[in-house]
Amino acid sequence: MKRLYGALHRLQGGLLAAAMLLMAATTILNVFARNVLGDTLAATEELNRFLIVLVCFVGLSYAAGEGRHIRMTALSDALPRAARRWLQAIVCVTTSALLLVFAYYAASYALDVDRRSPVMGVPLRWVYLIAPAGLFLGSLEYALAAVSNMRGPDVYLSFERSDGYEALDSGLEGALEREQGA
Amino acid sequence: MASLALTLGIVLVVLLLLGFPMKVPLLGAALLAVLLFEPFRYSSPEVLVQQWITGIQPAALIAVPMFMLAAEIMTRGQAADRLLDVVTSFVGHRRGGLPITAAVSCTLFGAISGSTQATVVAVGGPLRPRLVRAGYPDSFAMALIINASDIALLIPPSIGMIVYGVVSGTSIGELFLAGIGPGLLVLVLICVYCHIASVRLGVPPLPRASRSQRRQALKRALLPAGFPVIVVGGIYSGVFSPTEAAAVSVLYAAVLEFIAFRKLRPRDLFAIARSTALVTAVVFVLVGAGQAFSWVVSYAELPRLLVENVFGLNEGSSQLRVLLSIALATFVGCMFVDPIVVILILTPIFAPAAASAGIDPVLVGTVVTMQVAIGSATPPFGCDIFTAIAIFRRPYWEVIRGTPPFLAILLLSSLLVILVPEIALFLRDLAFR
Repeated sequence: MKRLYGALHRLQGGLLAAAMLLMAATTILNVFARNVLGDTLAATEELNRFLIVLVCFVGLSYAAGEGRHIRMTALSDALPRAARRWLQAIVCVTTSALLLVFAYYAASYALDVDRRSPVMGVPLRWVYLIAPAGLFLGSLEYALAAVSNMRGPDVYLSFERSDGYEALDSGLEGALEREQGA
Repeated sequence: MASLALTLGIVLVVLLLLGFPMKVPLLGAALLAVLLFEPFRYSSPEVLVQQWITGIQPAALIAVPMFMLAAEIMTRGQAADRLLDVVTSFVGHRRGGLPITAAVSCTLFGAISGSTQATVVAVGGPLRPRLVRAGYPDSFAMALIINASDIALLIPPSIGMIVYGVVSGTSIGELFLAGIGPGLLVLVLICVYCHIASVRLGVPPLPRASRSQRRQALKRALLPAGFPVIVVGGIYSGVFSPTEAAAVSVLYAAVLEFIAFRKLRPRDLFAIARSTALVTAVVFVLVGAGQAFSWVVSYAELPRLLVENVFGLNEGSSQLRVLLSIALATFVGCMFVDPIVVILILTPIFAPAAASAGIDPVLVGTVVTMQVAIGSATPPFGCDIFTAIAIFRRPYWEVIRGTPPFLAILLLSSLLVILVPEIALFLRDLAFR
């Protein structure tokens, strides 16, 4: 189970990195095309649109796995750890449910799209189906994070990552030592 | 209609305070509105997904991940350190030299990166230990870094300005140029305060760098200094669009770090791309969810209701009054939510009022970006504070204790920009009018 999860997480990371590099390459290529060849490559702009959909929705799930989505913790930080853990479990369950609902709507939206992209002629349905896939995986991530929080003992931001304030308290001393050591 | 506005507001605030990831309050409130409220009788929830997907696709938004990628390459490589060294060697020996170095570094790093949070990490990481060792209180050091990072959002490139430009249909190139004046104004005021503070604290300056050390540092910083030339020069002269400038920045950063400095190896590229994609996803999820929420707000025609009843604006309101209302709303918004979300939601709300008062949209964008930057460094919940807590590993109260004087400086500078719009528009007019 853990191995399957790890493999899926790494696969998403690889997909994201590849999409980002491809996006950079096409954008740079397009600058070259416009300024040197005097013509923009319409296909690169279209490809970038697809890639940003991929990065957004696959990244949603990947970032959930890394516990990196932006949230505001001023109030929950003030709670004792046990309460924080249960609050976090509730947050994760609710988030998971909401993403599942959105995955359903996204699938229904994507399946309804019956157009092809204007330049490359790709059926947009296949591009937009990335959205429900990413939302569904994201929903799974939060469900797993909820399980981790119910099990304890730490407060978990995701399946495998605890929020770790306590563990890393003396950041400055560490940084000073590293500087002096270097 | 008022009950819809109230419901949206309550759902948003309660879920935020409970510590939900920021997309949840936005999507949850939007979904609730579409399912339960009268104006959406004929809409199905699929429209929210459609808004999300179209919201992240404008071509100009590609500049955001590109600038992030360039900044990530430079931060992992040597360019950022080299810039820091050259500033230290020139101003380190003055009164308040080290904090001034930090402020100037934030400005220079802002010319590479478009986000305040990246700047907190890149400049704060190396400079906070140095400041503390030199004798500055830790809370002063942290407040300085958090607040000086605001400058990075004003100096082009700026992610806030890209998003504002896309949402409002304003030229991003013009916005970039208009940010330079206010950014430098904030820098000067912060430097003056640093000088006064270091005299009051009695912190001795650093030893003076020798002429050969300076020449050495200058030589090493020459190549990294090419960034402002590409971004500002390219846009000013009209050679590049902002997106193209972003792409060229990536290429330039890669050539510097992988070939010229040989600091990074090809295998680092994968990790850099992955972590940039992660940050991009976090931003674009907010852009998409923010767009869905914003659609709900506009579709139910809430903007007029809010602008008229909450801010008391109407057809005859003066430009100053409208600008001050916009500034106040964005500032307060950013004390609670991520800047991108604030820009996405508030821009369409205020656009009609700003247009009917005849205010230059570039000026509005500059004021909004400025307030967004300041708000995100302001307690209680400005997001830069949480970035600082995460990377400095210090408790909340210690991080915010030193912020009041900086906040005063920043609010003073935004007042100046509102009263004297030429500070922002001068450079834009020089290039485009």
